[in-house]
Amino acid sequence: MTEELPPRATAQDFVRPFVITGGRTRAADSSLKMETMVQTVGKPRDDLGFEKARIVDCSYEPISVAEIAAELNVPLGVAMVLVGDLCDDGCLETTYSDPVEIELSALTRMIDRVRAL
Amino acid sequence: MSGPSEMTSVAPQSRKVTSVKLVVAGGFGVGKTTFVSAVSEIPPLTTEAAMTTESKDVDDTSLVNKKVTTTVAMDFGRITVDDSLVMYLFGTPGQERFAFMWDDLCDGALGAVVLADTRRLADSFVALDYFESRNTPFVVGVNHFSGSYHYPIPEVREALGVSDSIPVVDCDARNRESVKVGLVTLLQHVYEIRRAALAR
Repeated sequence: MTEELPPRATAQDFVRPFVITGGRTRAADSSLKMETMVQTVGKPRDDLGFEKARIVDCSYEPISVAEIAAELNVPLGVAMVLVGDLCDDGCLETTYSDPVEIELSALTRMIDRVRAL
Repeated sequence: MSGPSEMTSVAPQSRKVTSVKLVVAGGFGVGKTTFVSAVSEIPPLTTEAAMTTESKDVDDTSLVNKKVTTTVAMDFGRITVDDSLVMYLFGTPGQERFAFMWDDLCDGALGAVVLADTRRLADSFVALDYFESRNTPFVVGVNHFSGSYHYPIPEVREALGVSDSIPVVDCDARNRESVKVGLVTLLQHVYEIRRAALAR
């Protein structure tokens, strides 16, 4: 259970999390959500900061913003700001689909997949 | 959205993946994380959301508006459907005092499974009210703990006060097959709602 996890000592205990984002707590692209999928695009760059370089590294296969946050062990909000920057810079590409647009055929695929688990 | 001409301009290895978010809600310790781990293809990941909220017990003598930063942990898992579709299952932070962040979590969710424990049904009321008020499709999974009395589903439905249109199923979060039934019930429920909407 999440609620029963013992407290972990992480870097966040000593550094305010939004230091990495220069104090920004909102991504430039407000359409980013925790389940938004991103993928690294374009040529490799060597001018990115440590955290952004890690995001680019772990996004060669499509990955969600939430997974990036877990991978980097940073709060979701921090990951969103960094991912937003990388999208603006053309390093990442996003896919987001409104659940309203999910087709019945996609739901059927989901049902079949869960049954086959 | 992308026609044949646009496809050629996309980097060769780039592929569009659609993600779908499902939410697992319910009271403290009802088995949300267990539910997620039962079907997730990865061990559940934890992400922390740092939330700033108004302090509830503001010091009257102070003119300064006090704010507190709370860190809330959310567990989530993943089910890859195929090359172009991924499902994410997010567990809501259990305590009622974290309900303020459910909007972020539930915004854009396809649907929700509300887990209810027959020993303390009232713990799931917050989640039921929430999804009802938002018109988010949801089903109720009645989690049975060993030693707890097995109430018939109609009785549980009545005690929860959910309408007949909401599926209520038995759901043991520790049992993978049982969790699959809960999840399929939700997806079918969403399917029916969508189909009815399209037929109109």
